[in-house]
Amino acid sequence: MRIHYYLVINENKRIECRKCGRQICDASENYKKHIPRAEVWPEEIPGERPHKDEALALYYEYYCPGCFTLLDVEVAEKGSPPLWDIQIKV
Amino acid sequence: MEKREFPSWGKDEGKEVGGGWVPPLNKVKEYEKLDPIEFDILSYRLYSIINEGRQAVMRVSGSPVVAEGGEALFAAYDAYGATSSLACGLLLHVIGTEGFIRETLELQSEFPGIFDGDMFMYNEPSVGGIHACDQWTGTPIFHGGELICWLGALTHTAETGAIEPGGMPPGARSLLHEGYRVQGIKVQEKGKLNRASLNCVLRATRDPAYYTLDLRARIAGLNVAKERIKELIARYGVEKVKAVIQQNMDYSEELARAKLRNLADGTWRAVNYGDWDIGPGPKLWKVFLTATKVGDELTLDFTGTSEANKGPANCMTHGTIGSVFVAVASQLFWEIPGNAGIVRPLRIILPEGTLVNASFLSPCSFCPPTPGQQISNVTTTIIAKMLYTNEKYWGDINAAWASENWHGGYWGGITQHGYSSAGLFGDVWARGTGAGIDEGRGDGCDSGALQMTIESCIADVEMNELRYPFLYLWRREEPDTAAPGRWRSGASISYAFVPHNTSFVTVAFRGIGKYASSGQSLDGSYPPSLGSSGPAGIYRIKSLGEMFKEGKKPDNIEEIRYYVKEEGGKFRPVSLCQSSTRVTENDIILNINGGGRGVGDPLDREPQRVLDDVKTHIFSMQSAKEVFGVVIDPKRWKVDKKATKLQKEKIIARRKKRGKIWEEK
Repeated sequence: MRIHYYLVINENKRIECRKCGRQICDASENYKKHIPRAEVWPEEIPGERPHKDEALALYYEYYCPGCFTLLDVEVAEKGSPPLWDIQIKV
Repeated sequence: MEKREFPSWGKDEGKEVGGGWVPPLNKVKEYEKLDPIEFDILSYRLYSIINEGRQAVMRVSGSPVVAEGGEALFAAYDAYGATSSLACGLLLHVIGTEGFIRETLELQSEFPGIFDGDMFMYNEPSVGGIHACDQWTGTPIFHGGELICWLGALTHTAETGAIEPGGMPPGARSLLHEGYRVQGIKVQEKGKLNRASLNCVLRATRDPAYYTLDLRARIAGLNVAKERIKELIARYGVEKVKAVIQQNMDYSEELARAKLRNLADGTWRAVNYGDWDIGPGPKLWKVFLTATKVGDELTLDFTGTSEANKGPANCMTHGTIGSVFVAVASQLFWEIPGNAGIVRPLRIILPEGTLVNASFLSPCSFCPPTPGQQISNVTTTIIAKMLYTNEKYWGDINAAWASENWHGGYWGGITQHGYSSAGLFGDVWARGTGAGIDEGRGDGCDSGALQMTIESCIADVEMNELRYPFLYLWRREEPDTAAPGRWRSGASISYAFVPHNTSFVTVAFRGIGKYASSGQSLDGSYPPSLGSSGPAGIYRIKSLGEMFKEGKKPDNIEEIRYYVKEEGGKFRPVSLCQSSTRVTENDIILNINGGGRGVGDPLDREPQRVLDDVKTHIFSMQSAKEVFGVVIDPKRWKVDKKATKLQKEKIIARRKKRGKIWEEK
């Protein structure tokens, strides 16, 4: 079952990357706790964005551990745990 | 305030209300089901009548917000105010006006009574509608001694006699600051206009002309639709008309529940931010939504949302529910006739005292854009994620639309024609829509619409210059307002104008996004930036008037900055809840609309598309290289394939270096 542009739940009820086939975690878990995330200040991305010295929120980028496709860019307060955005009942 | 689902008597007993009998609720809901063909004919006929009423409103009203912006709603309700058929440009009001009818039944059925030809007016946000600008007029329809249905028309009327002009006063710190609030007065009694009632408002607004036009437009629309309903009854009989009113809602409910059953069960979460309340410094607040879908029901729980703001960036319950339905009606149930039936499978939890359920007398005039757009955005984001779970709906997936606002939509003062007026620039509607995915639309629509008022058009610059005391320097799509992704969002506009031929004029801004991006894109796309012409605000150039006489006209931000430096002047930033600012003919008011949200990793976007985006000024050359990894040869206007390959490898290498598994501390 597809749950995301790049992610599916496979027949073994595991979350898997559609691009590279990398299995990430069990479908009952928060996949973002099992993949690399990077703290990125908005001003690192071009365009008029909050400057680091006054930004109240930043971007957390999450990558597929296999192909390093960018899976999500959370807007969040610094230090926030990964938001469990997709929790399919399997 | 008391939340009223029904008048105190409706559930168990009927009532004589003056002009006729209202049966008890269970009797009103009873009907003999129409066969499918008859239902289609009558349902569509009812919708045509409602739409004709709305078109009449838009043609009679001269207000740009209504006539061009389409901020007009028309609806047919059952005897207890349940919405059966709806023609609306303003999705906020899918069900948001039902409270007006319920309160009218509760308070006025015994005295002074409800009669044929009565028209009741409301703009009370704690009862229905969204904010004081949303002004509703409704009329009952009797047949054979029974109240069989109601008709209602709503317009966004741009001036409310608040503490500042323009209907949405940033300086308001109480609902009492937001202008007149009409509580169900009869503007028309038994078919005759009540001039004394009208004066309650006419003498309380800075702009009686537009108020009168809007009110008379609503009355005209109601008169047109009422005649058509009578024709419908004459042709098909009253029982079939009553039946279609109920069957419409049951049919929509059935379709809505069936669609929910086709999606996976689960829980989804999304958050959206604002970065300013009343100052003096920035403040982070959030709208947090947890959506849980089980079978054919969906619970939307806003627990975790910040407490109410002190300024007008709040919603009362109707505003929040309306903002939820902006997303539900346009994204989840877009193919289902919009009426109270699509509400029935939903349960909405709104913690009291938060900015999605602000207490009575909290200021709330900003509700539609802020936090209304945050509410619509989290709901849209979650719906998109739900739709992935069934291939049948992949074409419907749509990332959230615009939610940042960085512009001065409101003005008030003396026009070039010498009279007092106020309003808002419809330019605020020109925003980028959210992106779709491969199987759907793909890229968002540039300057597509504001999600809440999906049919909106913006007036020609010349029309605004004719009505308002301003001259435009430019209005154009603003580079880098689209969210970069595999599929990019639509881009939005910037627009700059100068006061002209006026003795006194003020502008007011609403703006979030300078200190925190409002909300995320979908599945690896970045949020949009606030363009490349910022910051928005007021740029004063000492000799601007003289420059115009010499034929000089700043045409972009670089030229404005140049003239500020060369001719003398300054930049005045304006914050979200800052009171209206007087401006002169030496001031340039620069506004930038935020863009929609994208989908997918920008590195996956085909280089040719990125090149096209740069050529059309959607993205800058810098964005192409640093975000999309696409290097463009600026002399030949071609993609440098070798450099692009290296750049993409560099970005992936940086991701590998920076990415770390999160560890709980």
